[in-house]
Amino acid sequence: MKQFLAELFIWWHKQTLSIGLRTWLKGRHVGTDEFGNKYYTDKKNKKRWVVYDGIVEASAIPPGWHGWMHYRTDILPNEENYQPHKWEKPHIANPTGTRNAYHPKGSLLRDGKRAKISADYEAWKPE
Amino acid sequence: MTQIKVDGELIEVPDYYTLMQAAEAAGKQIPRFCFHERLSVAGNCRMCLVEVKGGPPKPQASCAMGVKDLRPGPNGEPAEIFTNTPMVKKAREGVLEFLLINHPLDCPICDQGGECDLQDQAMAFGLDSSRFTENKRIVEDKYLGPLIKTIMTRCIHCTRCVRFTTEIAGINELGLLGRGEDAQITPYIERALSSELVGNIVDLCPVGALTSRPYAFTARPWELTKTETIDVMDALGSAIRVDSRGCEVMRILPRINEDINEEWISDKTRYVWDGLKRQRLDRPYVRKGKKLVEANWDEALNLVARKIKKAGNRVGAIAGDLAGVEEMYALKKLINSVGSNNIDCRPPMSALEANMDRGVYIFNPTIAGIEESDCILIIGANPRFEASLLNVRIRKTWRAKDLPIGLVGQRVDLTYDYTHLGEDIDSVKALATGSHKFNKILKKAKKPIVIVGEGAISLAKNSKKTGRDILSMSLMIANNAGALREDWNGFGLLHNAAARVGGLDIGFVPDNGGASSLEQLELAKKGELDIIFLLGADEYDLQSLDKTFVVYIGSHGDVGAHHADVILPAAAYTEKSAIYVNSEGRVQMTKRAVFPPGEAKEDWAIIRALSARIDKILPFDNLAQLREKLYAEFPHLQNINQIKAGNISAMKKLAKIPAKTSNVLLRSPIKEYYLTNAIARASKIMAECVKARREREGANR
Repeated sequence: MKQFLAELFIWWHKQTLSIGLRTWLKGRHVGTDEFGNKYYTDKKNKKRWVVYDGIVEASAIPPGWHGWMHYRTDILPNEENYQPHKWEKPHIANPTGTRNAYHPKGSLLRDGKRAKISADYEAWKPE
Repeated sequence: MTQIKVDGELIEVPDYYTLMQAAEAAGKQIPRFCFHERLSVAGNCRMCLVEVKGGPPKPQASCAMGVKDLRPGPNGEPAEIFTNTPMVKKAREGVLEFLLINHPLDCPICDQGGECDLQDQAMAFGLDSSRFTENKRIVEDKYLGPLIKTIMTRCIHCTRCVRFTTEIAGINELGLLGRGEDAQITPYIERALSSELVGNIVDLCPVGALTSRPYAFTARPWELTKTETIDVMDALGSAIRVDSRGCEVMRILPRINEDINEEWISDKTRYVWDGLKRQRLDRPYVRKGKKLVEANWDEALNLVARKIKKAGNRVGAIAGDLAGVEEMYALKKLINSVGSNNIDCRPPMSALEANMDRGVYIFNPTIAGIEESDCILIIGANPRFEASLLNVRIRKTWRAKDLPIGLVGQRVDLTYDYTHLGEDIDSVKALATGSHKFNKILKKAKKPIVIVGEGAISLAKNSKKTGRDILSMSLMIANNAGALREDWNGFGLLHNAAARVGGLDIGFVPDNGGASSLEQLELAKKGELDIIFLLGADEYDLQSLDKTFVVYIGSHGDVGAHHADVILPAAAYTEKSAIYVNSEGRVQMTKRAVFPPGEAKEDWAIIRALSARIDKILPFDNLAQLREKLYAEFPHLQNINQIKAGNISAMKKLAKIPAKTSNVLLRSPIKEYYLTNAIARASKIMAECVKARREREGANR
């Protein structure tokens, strides 16, 4: 019920009703990435789409699937001849706005203690 | 007057004008590097070339050629010059190409970038490329002291620095050696320049050869906020521009004010800015036991309020050298409100009194008026270090005409010749009675000036009478010399502190039985004064004040803060808008460039907050209301940049010769020029200057 209401009223959770309908009618499931996002293509392999696992966040698509999604390659990352580059690091979705967001040193959201800079004044201290 | 045609436009100019002045009178801009209005004409950069009709078939340097040097046309038509012909354009392009041959293309790492004459003029008048393919010349950097950084390869030999140091600063320590490609500006010997005005050569340098050493690589001119304000390092109130970035003062530059500083400022004024960032009082402190501990405003103010309530009228206040008029006014009202008159802004043993006329304590002839004078007598002052720019004015006048100058006091180098008339009070007496040789010269003068140093009338170790004697005798000398006339008031008292005249103007002096600064400190030591306010007062003997509750209101942790029981942090002169009255009696106002650090507040606001806690609320809630009250009581303070003249007859009444005088030597109170106030003492740059001067003096021995 909750899932149905979400599909009906909002767009940022997994999928909308129309995408669900289309996936059911035309979709062919080609694979799932390590985050649980499911990738689909239509019967003619013309259109490609993704149904996210949880929040709809484009940066959650890892590089291999990103290439396939954007038609740069037809090789699926779950195929045997897919070769990731050796310098590729584990993919992390853009954490902006989440708890894992990056805060520079001295930011109030980190420790609030910044290093001394040249514009600082030197306070007088007794003794 | 003579007629001249500039680019076809006929104008009439005085016949002593140069072609450059004539062109400017016609509204034509002439580019220049070596020419400067206040220096002699060198004519060596050739940037100001113009075409002269009927003259020699080559371009002429307009800065060095007079209008009267030009020949009229064959039928007596006015002479004609051109500033925009192809010949002039080609000449300028040629000059710039030659200049850039040996000038490094390091603008991106040059501190002058963005305010560089060569950069601007190369853009406006230069060619886009150079035909020079040989090696550029390299010049070794020179050491000119802790204030000036040199990158001599950038030098274009305009010799402005040489002319400034010899003509205005009065030192012969910089010159141009060698010819052609080997020419270089050099201090001859590797040591710091001895003048207190060297910072000005940084401004004068049209390229980045001489830059400010402490400012090196810290900021770019276009990212700075410029605040036009007033200096408080000496009693002249030079016009300055404070350049700040964020919460930080990056540098201080002079502004043009023909009445005071022309366009120079002293090194203390220019380089004191790093003192504004060090030793700052940024939070209130309260003494608990033997130690000062951090407190909040509530705690500190409540403690002071409790002490005032208990003290009754056994309260005193001393204002220091950098206090503005507003805070002194507020403090005066606060002290008066508890029934006390113990307020003082004068140095110990000062001869100045509350009821004295303004003419007695201001520099009546005015600084610009020095140029009219034809004889100057200096009594007990060292104007070079007490008021550097006043000394510049005297030197300028001395160079321009035959100006006899007499000095009573320490024999020092004032950068001009003077007759030394003695060192003690007897010489002053001899001058006052008319038995001195110098009296004849004084008598002959039409506009004589008598400059009396503040040190001479407040000789700390002696009784008050000595200072008063010197003051009345100086007035006598001025009167006898004819300096006290309605059309010429030549009596000038030279103060050492920016706060002084303002304090005297608003009567921040003990009246109706109040105690002076020295008496207050004596009382405090005996325990007969319960609470004493120090408004930035550091220049007094503050030892053994254990029996009194000391409240220090100020911006820097100096002598006063160490002896305080409560420290209330206040704003420095770049952090508040305050009225200062300079030694001439000229009313001036500072502007806020940056905010006070930490929890520090403006001084008047602290005093106002305190007044509310002792239930004697001062009748103003903001600075505008305070000024309204201030102006109502002292109307002359609202005339910014104006001088309320002294009353001649009141001055004459004070002139007399005492029968007996105790013999003392007249000495300037300034022991170390670079360290005269709390801000300067906090400055690292000033400390370096002191070190450089000592090294220099050690090498001389």
